Amino acid sequence: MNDWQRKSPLDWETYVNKLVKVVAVEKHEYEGWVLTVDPVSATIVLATFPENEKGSLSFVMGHAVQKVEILREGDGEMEQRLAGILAPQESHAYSP
Amino acid sequence: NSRPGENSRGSENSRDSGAVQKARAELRERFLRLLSGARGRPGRFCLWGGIRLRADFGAADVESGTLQTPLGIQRAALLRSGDLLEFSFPLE
Repeated sequence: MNDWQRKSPLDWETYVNKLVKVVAVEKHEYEGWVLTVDPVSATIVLATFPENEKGSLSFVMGHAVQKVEILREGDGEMEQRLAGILAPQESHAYSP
Repeated sequence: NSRPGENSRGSENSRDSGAVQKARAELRERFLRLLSGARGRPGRFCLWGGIRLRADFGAADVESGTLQTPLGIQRAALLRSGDLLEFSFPLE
């Protein structure tokens, strides 16, 4: 188990809605906005929004994560954009 | 927080574990939502040793449909999560 997998959910929560660089094994690097960290597998889920391209979701497995560096805090607009990814349209059916 | 007597205990530990549990539940719920949203989408899977595969995501743990391999397209395949380093999908 690596250092990232040993963190507490409260630690992982501090990364949500922030732009991060994830350094992974085999010299892979991923950059994106953190949507969540799975508390079971420590998998970190990133959203990327490249210009003039569709965005994408990237799941970096917890066992592959070596370092996570915070690059920037999200502003209100980015937080809304990220919340939109988490709230699919069908969830409206469950709203009171 | 609704359990009787929890507040009256008032110890650091019970407050901490409550906050930890809340954070864990929220993070996990977000993760499961994102995973279920990925179902059926075309994904790119990065495995150990620089191996990259394209496949439609089936369901978590991690099942994929139409796995494209150097030997041809497999209609369905199971990928072990321990073999994966990263996988990604386009947003709608």
